[in-house]
Amino acid sequence: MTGASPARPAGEPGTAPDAAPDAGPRPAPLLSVRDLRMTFGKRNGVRAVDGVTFDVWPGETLGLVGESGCGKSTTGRMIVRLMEPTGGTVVFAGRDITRLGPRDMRPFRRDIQMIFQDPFASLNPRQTVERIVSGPTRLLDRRGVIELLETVGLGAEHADRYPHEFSGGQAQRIGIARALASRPRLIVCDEPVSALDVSIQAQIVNLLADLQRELDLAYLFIAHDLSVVRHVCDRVAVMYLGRVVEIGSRDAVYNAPAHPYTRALLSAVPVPDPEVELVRERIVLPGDPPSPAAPPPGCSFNPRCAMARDVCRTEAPPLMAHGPGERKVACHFAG
Amino acid sequence: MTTAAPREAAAGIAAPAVRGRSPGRIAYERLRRDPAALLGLAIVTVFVVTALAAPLLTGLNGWRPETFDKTAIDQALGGVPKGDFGGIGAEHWLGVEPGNGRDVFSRIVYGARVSLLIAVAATAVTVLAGTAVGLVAGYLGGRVDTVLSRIMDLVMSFPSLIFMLALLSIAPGTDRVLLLVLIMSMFSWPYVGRIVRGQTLSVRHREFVDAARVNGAMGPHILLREILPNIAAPILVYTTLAIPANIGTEAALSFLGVGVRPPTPSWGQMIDNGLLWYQVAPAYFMIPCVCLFLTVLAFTLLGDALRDALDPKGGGR
Repeated sequence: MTGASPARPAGEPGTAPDAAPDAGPRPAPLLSVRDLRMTFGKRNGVRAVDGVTFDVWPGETLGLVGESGCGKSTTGRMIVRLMEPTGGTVVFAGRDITRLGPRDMRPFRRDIQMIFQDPFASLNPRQTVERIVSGPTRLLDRRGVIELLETVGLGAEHADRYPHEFSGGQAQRIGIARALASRPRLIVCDEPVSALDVSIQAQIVNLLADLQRELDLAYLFIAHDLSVVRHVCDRVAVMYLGRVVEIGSRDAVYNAPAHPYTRALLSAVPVPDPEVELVRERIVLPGDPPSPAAPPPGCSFNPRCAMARDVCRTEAPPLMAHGPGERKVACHFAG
Repeated sequence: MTTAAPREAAAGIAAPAVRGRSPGRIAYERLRRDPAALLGLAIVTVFVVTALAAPLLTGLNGWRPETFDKTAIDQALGGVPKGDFGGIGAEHWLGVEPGNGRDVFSRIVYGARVSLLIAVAATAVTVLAGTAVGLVAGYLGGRVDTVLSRIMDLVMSFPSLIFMLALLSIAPGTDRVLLLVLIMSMFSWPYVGRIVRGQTLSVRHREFVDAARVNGAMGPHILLREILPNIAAPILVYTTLAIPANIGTEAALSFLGVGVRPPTPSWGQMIDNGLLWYQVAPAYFMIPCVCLFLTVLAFTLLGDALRDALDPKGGGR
């Protein structure tokens, strides 16, 4: 059986809380993304994100996984309003922030922060750590900066240094400190550990987990490393070609994947036990993901799916409730 | 606060007194060890001090740059300076001007003033205008970029020397220095603009710019605080290399007779004048040439050294 995450109250099994977040006794979601779309180019544009819907509750971690180019980073960047969505809404704490201008957006900037993939590219090489952490609006004085540096495992002696003097792991800690400066409620983590050494990844992941507990943060954790996602996330959303194909509690998705793409994705994760690894069944998908400029008709996964029938080539499956753990799957033959 | 993660940060930070070396500081330390840069800097300093202290220096030798000294020239020979090497001696340190006997030292000193003032001012206007346009074009992109870039292409396609000659010949203004500054920068700002635009384009998509936006930074902050410091190096190098080019241009324009008007002295004008006399008074022709050469060389050396010092890949020296 699958269990709801301990980080939030359990919902009623069998309902579809993602579609009706206010139903039931649970608190309102912190972030509600509804039918979010991003199309690049005017006509016949590239549909990088093609109708994504999910919720993030206070204090939880939602993992957003998928291969390169599936639109997960674009989704994250639209939520922090680095990109303007071409459709859909982003509702934060009950307010639609999708169309807010830069000035109206400012109060929300404090609540929604971002941690970037490349720790060095995301730190201005001409600014000291103190200036980077206190941010463009000088949120913190020196004491506040040092306190924050200590929170992320750095010290006062680092405040006057420049980014090029740090290792990748330290640089990412600075990035995390900057994101914490405004006391956010939601942090979009865009592949926060994929540029780091494996040995450092664990430290950063654990730091994020500790911070979540201490500061009651919600994370939208974008990653392609499935084992990292399994380690940090309460719920997981799997994206393929700009759409969410499966979303549900971590255990439901990992232990009993319902969408054929999720199954293929999970079967690619190596198992640490060599004997199990030898007999492990791998699903190898034929071909490459289709171009988001010209997605196939029907279910976008149908050209690579072993289960595809005629209906899959004509009709796109909606995201529907499937089994326990508040799981939803977009597949005609989910099982 | 506690973090379960072992602190990889704690390694190698035993000396808390260590202050970070800023990129500018690293460049400064490289520059200090570069003999060419030091030579360039020394010559530049000499000429700048000379230009600034011109009234003091002419006070020392007692000759105003406009004062005629009929006793120093041989009227019978048509005004050739008396004495060797164009009349160099205790009275006139660098000799006198043939024909009217004006003191060459005083004229060189005041000429340095005019030449450097015009070159530096023209460079400043050029760099400021070019940087502003380049930043805006590169950051805003789209239609604004297209319009500004086409304007820059248009201005760059003018044969600038001919246009400067034409404009300066017909311009009525009485303030020749201001006029020279404006007309010289009018034709050179697009060169800075292009460099800055290209650099802005490459920096604007870096993640730290996104990070600043996520933190609520607006356009002016992003341009001036996030992008500009990261493209300051090429602008600085261009500036140091533009000064000698502008000194040359000013000399050329004065040489061609459209620069500063006599009796205001300028090196180019002196070279032009010296050309008439070079067979009988070669020193009068040589002295401003040498000054011009040294100044241009010194600024160029400095600019080259600066470019090397600011290049992050140019370590190992």
